[in-house]
Amino acid sequence: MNLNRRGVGEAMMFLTFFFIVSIVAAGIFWSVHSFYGKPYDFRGVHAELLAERISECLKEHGFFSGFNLSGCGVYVPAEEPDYLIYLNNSKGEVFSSGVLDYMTQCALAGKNDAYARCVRGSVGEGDTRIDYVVGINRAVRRGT
Amino acid sequence: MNRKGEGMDNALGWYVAYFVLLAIFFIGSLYYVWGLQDGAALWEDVYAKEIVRIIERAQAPEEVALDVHLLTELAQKSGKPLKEIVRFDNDKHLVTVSTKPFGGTSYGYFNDVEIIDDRIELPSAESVNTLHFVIVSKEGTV
Repeated sequence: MNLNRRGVGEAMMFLTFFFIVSIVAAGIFWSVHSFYGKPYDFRGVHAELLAERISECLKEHGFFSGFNLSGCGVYVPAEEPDYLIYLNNSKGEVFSSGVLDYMTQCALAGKNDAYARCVRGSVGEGDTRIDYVVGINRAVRRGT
Repeated sequence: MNRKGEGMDNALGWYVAYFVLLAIFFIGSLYYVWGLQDGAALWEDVYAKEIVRIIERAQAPEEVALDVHLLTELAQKSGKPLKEIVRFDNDKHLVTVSTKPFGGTSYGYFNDVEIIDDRIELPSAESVNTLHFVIVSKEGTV
């Protein structure tokens, strides 16, 4: 009986010890991560750079049926797209590549830090006007 | 007597468990803080994205020279070979910057170009170490 009580006490002490160590570990990780862990947010700049390329391409070649991004010198990643390129002209023709859900995120810009960063713009005027939306939510890959 | 012996074994077991747990916690914390202490992860992140910025803006063919003195200092501390600090994957359009023996930080670019002749030059003790690379058009693209 006496031994059982001692066993229960030691188990309780172990749980207490484990709890304290967990709290200290969480404190260290949280404080270090909040100081060093925030990445350099490049998404907005990257969206502007891509939008600039798309805009230049549209000025040069226009928007036509069968339009593709490789003709604009834009590489399209085959796996896990993390961007949106959305074009539409005054005739109602639409081209999109990437994650269409970013259109919603673009509309909610500034509401959530995890949402894609977007650039909207247009090329041409009147009947030749082409509107574009470029959104990027690219993150670095670690450990490769 | 047996009961007393069992009690002592039991206590020793708890002490060993405490010690192992504490050692795991201590080593884990040290490894985590050691990885961040010199800001290596942050600098890998910054350089990977700034190199991508250069590539995205480039009009091929273009030769680039970039000051990477800080990266080479961080890499030398950890014994990372110079030629493995910055790597370009032309198939996946990725730039990988790594200052530690294992791992690294990769970031992708959209500009459909190829990176060739990449090298880090260490001119002299007084000047900065520089990353050189050439951006060229992909064969077949207009």
